[in-house]
Amino acid sequence: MILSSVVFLPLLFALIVAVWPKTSSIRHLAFGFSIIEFLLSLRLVQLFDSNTAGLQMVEKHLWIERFGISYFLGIDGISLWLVLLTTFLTPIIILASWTSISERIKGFHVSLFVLQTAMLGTFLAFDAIFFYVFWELSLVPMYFMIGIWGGARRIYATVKFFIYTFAGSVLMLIAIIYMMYLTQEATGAMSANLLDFYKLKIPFVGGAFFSLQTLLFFAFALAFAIKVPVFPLHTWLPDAHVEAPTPGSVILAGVMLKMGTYGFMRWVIPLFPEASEYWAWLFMLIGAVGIIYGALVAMVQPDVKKLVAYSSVSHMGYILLGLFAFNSYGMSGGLYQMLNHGISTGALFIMIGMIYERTHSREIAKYGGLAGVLPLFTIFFFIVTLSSIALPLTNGFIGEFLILLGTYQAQPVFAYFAVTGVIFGAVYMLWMFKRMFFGAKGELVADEHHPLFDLNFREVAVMIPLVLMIFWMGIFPNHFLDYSKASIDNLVNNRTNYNLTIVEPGAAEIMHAQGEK
Amino acid sequence: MNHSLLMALVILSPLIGFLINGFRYKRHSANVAGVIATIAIAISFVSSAILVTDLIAMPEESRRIAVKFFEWLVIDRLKIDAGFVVDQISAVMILIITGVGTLIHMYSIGYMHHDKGAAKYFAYLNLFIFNMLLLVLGDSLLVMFVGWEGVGLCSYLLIGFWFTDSEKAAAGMKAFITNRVGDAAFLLGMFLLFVTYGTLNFSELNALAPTVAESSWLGAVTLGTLFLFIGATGKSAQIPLYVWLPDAMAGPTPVSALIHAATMVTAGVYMIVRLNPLFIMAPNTMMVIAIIGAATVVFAATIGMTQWDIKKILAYSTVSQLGYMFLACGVGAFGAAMFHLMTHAFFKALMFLGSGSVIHAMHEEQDVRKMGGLKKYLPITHITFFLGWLAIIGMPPFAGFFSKDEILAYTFNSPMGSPILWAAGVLGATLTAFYMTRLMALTFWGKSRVSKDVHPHESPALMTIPLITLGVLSVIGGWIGVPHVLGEYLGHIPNVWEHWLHPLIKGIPGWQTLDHATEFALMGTSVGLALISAGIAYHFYVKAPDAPKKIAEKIKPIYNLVYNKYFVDEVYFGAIINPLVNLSRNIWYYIDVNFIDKMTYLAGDLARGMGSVIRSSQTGNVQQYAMYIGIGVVVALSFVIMR
Amino acid sequence: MNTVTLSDILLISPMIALFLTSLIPITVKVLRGNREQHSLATLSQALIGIIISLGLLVIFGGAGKTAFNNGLIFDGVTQWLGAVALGSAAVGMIMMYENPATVGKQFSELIFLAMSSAVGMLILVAAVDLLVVFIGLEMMSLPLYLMIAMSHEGKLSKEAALKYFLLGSFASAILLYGVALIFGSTGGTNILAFMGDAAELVQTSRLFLFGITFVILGFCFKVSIAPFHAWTPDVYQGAPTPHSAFMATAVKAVSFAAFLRIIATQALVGSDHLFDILQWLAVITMIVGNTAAILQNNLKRMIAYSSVAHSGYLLIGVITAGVSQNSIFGASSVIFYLLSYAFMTLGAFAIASMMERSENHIINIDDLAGLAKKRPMLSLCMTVFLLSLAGIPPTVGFFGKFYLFNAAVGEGLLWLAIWGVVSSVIGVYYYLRPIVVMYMKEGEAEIAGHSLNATTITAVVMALAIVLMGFVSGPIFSAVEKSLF
Repeated sequence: MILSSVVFLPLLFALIVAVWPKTSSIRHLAFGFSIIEFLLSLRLVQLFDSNTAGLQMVEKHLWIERFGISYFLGIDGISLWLVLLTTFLTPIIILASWTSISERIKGFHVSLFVLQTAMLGTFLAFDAIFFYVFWELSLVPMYFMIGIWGGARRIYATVKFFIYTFAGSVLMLIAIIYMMYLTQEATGAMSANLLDFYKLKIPFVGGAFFSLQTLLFFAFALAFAIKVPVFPLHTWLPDAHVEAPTPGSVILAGVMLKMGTYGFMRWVIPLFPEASEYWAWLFMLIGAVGIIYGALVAMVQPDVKKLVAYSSVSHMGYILLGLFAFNSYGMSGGLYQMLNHGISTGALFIMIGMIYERTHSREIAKYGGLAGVLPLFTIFFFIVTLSSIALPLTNGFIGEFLILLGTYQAQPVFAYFAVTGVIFGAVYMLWMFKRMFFGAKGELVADEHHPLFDLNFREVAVMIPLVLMIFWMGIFPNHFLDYSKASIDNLVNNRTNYNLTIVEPGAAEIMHAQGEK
Repeated sequence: MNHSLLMALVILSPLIGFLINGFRYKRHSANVAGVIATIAIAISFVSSAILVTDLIAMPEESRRIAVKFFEWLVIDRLKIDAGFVVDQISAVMILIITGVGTLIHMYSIGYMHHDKGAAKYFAYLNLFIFNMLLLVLGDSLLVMFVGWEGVGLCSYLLIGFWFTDSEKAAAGMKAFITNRVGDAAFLLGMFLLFVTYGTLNFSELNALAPTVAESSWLGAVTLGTLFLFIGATGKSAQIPLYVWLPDAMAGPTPVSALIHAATMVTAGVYMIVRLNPLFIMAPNTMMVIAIIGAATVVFAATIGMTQWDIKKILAYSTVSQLGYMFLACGVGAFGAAMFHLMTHAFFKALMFLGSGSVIHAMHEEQDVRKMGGLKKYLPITHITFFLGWLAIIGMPPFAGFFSKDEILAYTFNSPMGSPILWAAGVLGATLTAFYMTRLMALTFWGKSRVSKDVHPHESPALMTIPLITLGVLSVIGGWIGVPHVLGEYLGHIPNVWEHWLHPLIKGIPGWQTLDHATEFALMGTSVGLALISAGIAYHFYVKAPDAPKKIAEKIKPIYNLVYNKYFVDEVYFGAIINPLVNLSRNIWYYIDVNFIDKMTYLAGDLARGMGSVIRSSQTGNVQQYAMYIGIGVVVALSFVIMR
Repeated sequence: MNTVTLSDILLISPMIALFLTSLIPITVKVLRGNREQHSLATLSQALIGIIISLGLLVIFGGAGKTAFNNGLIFDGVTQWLGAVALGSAAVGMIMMYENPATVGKQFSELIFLAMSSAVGMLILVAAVDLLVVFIGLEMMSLPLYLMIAMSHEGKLSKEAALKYFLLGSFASAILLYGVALIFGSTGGTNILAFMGDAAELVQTSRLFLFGITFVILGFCFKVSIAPFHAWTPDVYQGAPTPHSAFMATAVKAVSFAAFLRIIATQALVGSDHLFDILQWLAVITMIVGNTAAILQNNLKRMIAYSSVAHSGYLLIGVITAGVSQNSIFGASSVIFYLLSYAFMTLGAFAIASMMERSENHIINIDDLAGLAKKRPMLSLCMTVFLLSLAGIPPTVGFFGKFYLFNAAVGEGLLWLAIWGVVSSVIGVYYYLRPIVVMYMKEGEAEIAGHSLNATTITAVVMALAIVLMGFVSGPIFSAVEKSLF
C-alpha cells in the first residue's frame, strides 16, 4: 500500500485543500501536507532493497480486465530518486511561493498537489495505459499554473506548452495500443503491463525506417524527446519557463523534464533495444548539439530566466547523451544528472523568483553590483551557479563527469563535442553572474526608493535544503548511486533481453539469509 | 600520531578555517579573521611537517603514506576513493603550500588590514589551500581534478575580490573560463586514460605505463598526455592559454604571490611530474611540452620587458619561469622541474610580497614610472627584493641559479632536448635578467619619481617577517640540489634533491652524463649573459634613463607589438569570442525564433488556413449546402462504382 | 406471422409509455382551457415518462429479442443507445425548462414534441427493417424541425429550422432511394435478411451496392459527416441551446445505432471502394471539424464543429465494426464513445445554456472571461467537459478515444487511428481556448439564474460522471460488449 499512498496522498490533500474554508491557513496546511508526503516517501528509501534490480513494493490489480490494463505500481532503482526528488521539491516550492503567489491560493495548491500525484504516478506506474494517464494528466495542472499565475505572455506560453507536449505523446498512445496487440499475439492475452512489453521480441530491420521496431521506437521517443526537450523540439521550454510563475518553473525544470528522460530509460531503451542501439548516434547527436546549442543561446539571453531555461536545454542534452551511451557510467550519470538538474536549476529558478519579487525585473542589464547589496543571496546564488557549471564537490560534477566518461567510452567523437559544454556552461553562467552581481550597481540595485533587502528567514530556509543536497550529492555520490546501481547494471547488461522481476516483500531478506548459510 | 588523523588535519584544517571565516563573512576585522586563517594553515603546516618527517623516516623503497577516507565514486570499473598520498613529490608540494601559505596568510593580515571584506578574503584563501592540498595529495587524477577545479574557483573569487570594479570581475571570469578550456582537455585526457587503462589512480597508471615509447601521435598515451598537458597550459599559464594570468593581477597582491606565483600555477608541472612514467613514454607529447615551454619562456619574457605595472612585470615573469618548468618536463628533467618549482615558489612569492609591500607603501600605486628610489624608504623590502632578484636572474649561489642551471643542462644534454631549446632557455634567462633589473632599477634605485602627496613608509612587521623568511629561503633554497659537478669541487656536497625524488622519477632513456667542461661552459654562458644583460639594464634605467625611450622610438613597430602583448587578447576576442557571441545571437534569432518557432506557427497556420477555407464554404446558403451533399453523393458513388 | 403478440407489445412498451406520457402535458393544458400549467409540473411529467420508458427498455429488452416480424430489435445497441437518447432527452428538457428561449407559453407543446421525437428515436434505435428505419428517422426529425421553429428566438432559429428541414428532406430522399434500390435488388428491406450476405451482394449486384451506398450517405448526413455536415453549425447555432444539446447527442446516438446496423451487414468487407470512401470521409470529417472549430468565436458553433469532428472519430469505430470479423468490439467502442460523448457535450451545452441570459443572446467564447472567479464550480465543470472532449486522461473522453483507436488498431486501421490522434491535437487547441478565457482572462462573465438551479446540478452531475466513468470505464465497456453478444 505504500506506493499507492505515496502516489495518491497528494490527491487527497488536493481535495482537502479544495474544500478548506479558511484561505489564510491554506499555505500552512499545504506545507504541512507536503512535508508529510516527503516523510512518507523517505520511508520508501528505508524499505528499498538496493541489492536487487527487481521491482519492489509492487501493487498490482487488474483495472480494465478486457484489455489487460492494470493498476500497477512498483519501484526500482531508477524511479526511487525521482520520486524522492518530486516529494523533496514540493515543500520547498510551497515555501518559496509563500508570498509570490498571492491570488487564488487555493487553486494554486490544488494544482500543485494534483501535479504531484501525476508526476509520482508517471515515475511509479508500470502499466502502459496507467502510465499514460498520469503522463497526460500532468499537463493539466501545469497548464493552469502557467496560464493563471504566469507572466504577461502566459497564455501564449501555456498553450504552446500544452499543445507541444500533447502532440508529442499522441503517437505514443497508438504505439502503446499496438504493443498491446503484440502482447496478445505473443501470449494470447492482451496486456498493457510493461513487464509483458519487455518480454516482446519486436522484429527489427536495420536499414528500414518503416519497420516495426523502428516506428514504435520513434513514436515513443518523440513523446519523450519533446518533454525533455531536445533540440530542435525545445522551443516551448524557454517560453514556458519565462512565463511560468516561480513554482511552475521549478516543477517544470525540476521534475517534469525528467519525465522525458525517465521515459527514455524506462521505456524506449529497454523496449526497443535494437532500434535504440541503431539510432543511438542520432540521439547522441541531438544530445551533443543540444548541449552546445543550449549553452550558446543561453549566453546571449537578456532575460535571466530565459538564460536558465536555455541552460536546461543544454543540461538535458547531457542526460540524453549519457543514456544513449548504454554503459553504467553514462546511465548512472544520466540518472544523477536528472536529480542534479532538478535541484540546481530548481534552486536557480527559486532565486530568480526571489529577486524578481524584489525588483519585478529579470533583465540582466538592469542589475549589477548585487553582491554588495545582497551578500547572503549572492552566496546562495553562487553556490548554485557552481553546481550548475559542474564544479567538483557539487552534485553537477558527478553527473557531468559520468556522462562524459560514458560517452567517451561509447562514442568518443560525441564526447569531444560535448566537452565544450563544460566551457560554455561556465561562460554563460559566470558572465550572467558577473553582469548581475559584480561591477557597479545597476539601475534597479541603485534605486534608492526601493532598497533591496537580503534574504529573510523563510527564504534562507528554502535555500538551505537545496544547498545541502548540492554538497551532499557532490561529496557522497555513492550514498545515492548505490541504490540505483543494481537497476542500472541490469539495464546496461541485459539491454537486449531486458526483464524486470517482481520482488516479493521479504523475499530479498530470505535470499540474503539463504546466501549467508 | 595516526597518519589518517594527520592527513585529515592537513586537509581539513584549512577547510574548517574557511567555514569559520565563511560564516563570519560580514565581519570587517582583518586581525581576527587573519589569525583564524593563519592558525588553520599553520596547523596544516605542522601536520604536514610531521607527516613528511615520518616519510623521511621510512625506508626508501616504501616511502609512501596513503590514507583512504571513504569510497567517493564507485561505478562499474571506476573506483575512485577519497584517498590521499604523501610521497616524495607531494611531500615537497604540501610543505611549499602550507609553508609559503602560512607566511602569506600572515602577510595578508597586515596587507588587508583596512579592507572591509577581510573575513571573506581569508575564507577564500583558506579554501584555496584546502583545494590545493586536495590537488597535490589526491591519489587519483579525479581527486586531483577536484582540487584542480577548486583552486581555479578560488583564483576566480580572489581575482575578482574587489568585485565592484567591473574590470576586476571580468579578470576573474577570464581566468576561470580560460582554465575551463584547459579543464575540458584535462577531462578528455582522463577519459582516454581511463578507457585505456581502466583506472585513474596515479600509482596504477604509472605501473601500467607502457615500457616502450609510443611513436604514434594518435596513441592512447600520446593523446592522453597531450590532453592533460593542454589542461596544464590552462592552469599553469602556458601558450596559448596564458592570457588570464597577467589579468589575474587584479586580485590582492598576496593572492598573486600565493596562487599566481607559488602554488596554483605550478599545478600543471606537478601533474606532469606525477605522471612522469606515462609522459616519458610519449615522446611526441614531450616534444610539444618542451617547445611550448621554451616558447613561453621567451615570449613572456619579451612582454615583461615592456610593461610598466609592477605586478604585470612579475606576472609575465611568472609565465616565463613556468615555461622553464615545462621545458624541463619536456626534456625529461622532471626532478629539475620540481626543483625550479620550489625555488621559484620562494623567490617569486618573495617578489610579489615585496611588490605588495611597495604598493602598500605607495598607496595602491602600481606604475613603476611613478616609483624610483624607494630603497631608502623601504629598506627591508628592498633587501629582500634584492635577494629575490639575484635568485631569479640565476646568480650563484642563490636558489634560482641551481634550478635554472639544472634545467638548462638537461635541455642541452637530454636526448629529448636540443641546443636550440637550450638557446631559447638562455635567451630567456638573459631577458629575465634585463627586465628584472629594469624592475629593480625603476622601483628601488635611481631618482625618485614618487608624487609629492605620497609618503612611502616601510610595511609593518607582519609583512616584513614573511619577506625576510622568504628572502632567506631564496638564498639557501637551492642548496639542496647542488649539481654533482659543483658538489664535487665544493667538497662532495650530495645532491639531496635528486636522491630524494629518485624513486618516483623515471630516468631519461638514452641519457648520457655530461662532461664537466661542457657543463661549466653552459653554466658560464647563461650566468655571463645574464650579468651582461643586467648590466645593460642597470645602465639604461639608472645611469641613462632616457636611452630606453630612444631605443623604443627607433624600433617602434616592434616595441608596440611587444608592448601590446602581441595583440593576443585582441586576436582572441576578434577571432573567437566575438564571433562566437555573434553566432549565438544569430542562431537564437534565426534558428530558434525565426525557424523552429515559425515552423510551429506554420503548422498552426496550416490548420487555421484550412479552417478558414472551410468557414468560407459555410455561407449559410441552403442551396449551396445541398450542392455539397449532391457533390458528395456523386463523388462517392462514382468512386464506389469503379470496382 | 402478422399477428401482434404480447411479446411485441412488451418490447415496444418503452415507446408506448413515452408516447402516452408525452400526451399528459398538452392534455392538461387543453383541460385547463389552453392555460399552461406550471412548467415544473410539465417537466416532471416528462421526466417521469422518460424514467418509465427507460425502465421498460432495460427490463424487456435483451439480446436477440425482435418484435413485429423482425422489424424491431431490442439488443444491446438498442438498450444502450436508447438509454443515451432518453438520457439526453431528459437533460435537454431540463435545460429547456430553464432556458429563456424555450421556457414559457408553449412549454407543454415543446415537451410534447421533444418526447415525440424521442419516441421516433427509440424506433430508429431499434429498427432493423430499412423502412422502419426511415419511419423512425422521420418521426424523430419532424418534431425537431418544429421544436426549432417554435423557439422564442428571432430569425436565426426559424432559418435554422428551415435549413434543417430542407436538407434533412434531401437526405431522407437519398436514404429512401437507397432503400428502394436495396429492395429492388434483394426483394426485402430487412437488414437481418441480408446480414452477412451483403459482402457478397455488393460484389454481385451493382444495384445493391448503390442502394447501400445511398443509405450510408443518408446516415452520413444525419451524423454530420463532412461534406454532408454543412447544416450542423448553422442549425446548432441557430437552434435554442437545449435543442442543440438534444440534437447533438440523442440524434447522433440513434443515427449511429442505425448506421451500425447497416454496417454490421459486412457490406464493407465486400467493397474496397466503399471501405476507402468511408475512410476518407472519416479523415476529412476529422480535419474539417477540427480545423473549422479553431476559428469559431461562437461557443455553440465551436461545439457544433467539435461534434462534426467527433463524428469523424466515431466513423472510425463504425468502419472498424464494418470490416471486423468481430464487429462487436468496434460497435462497443462506438457505443461507449457515444455514451461518453453525450455526457461531455450535454455538459458543455448546459454551460452555454446557462450563459444565455435572454432570448437572442449570442454567446461568444470571449464572454466566458472571468467565469472562473465568479462561478468556480461551473468553470471547473466546463473544464472537465472540454478536457474530456479533447481526450485528456483520466476523463472518460480519453477512454472513449482509447477504445475506438484500440479497435481500429486491432483491425489494422492504423493509419485511421493515427489520423485520429493527430487531428485530436488540433482539437486540443480549440478546446483549450474557453479554458484560457475562463481562467486566464479578466472579464465579467454573467450567468442567468441562481447558483443552484437544475441546469447547474445537471452540469455538476455530468462532470462528476465524466471523471468517475474514467475510472470505471473498463467494466462499463465490458458490459456494453457483453450486451452485444
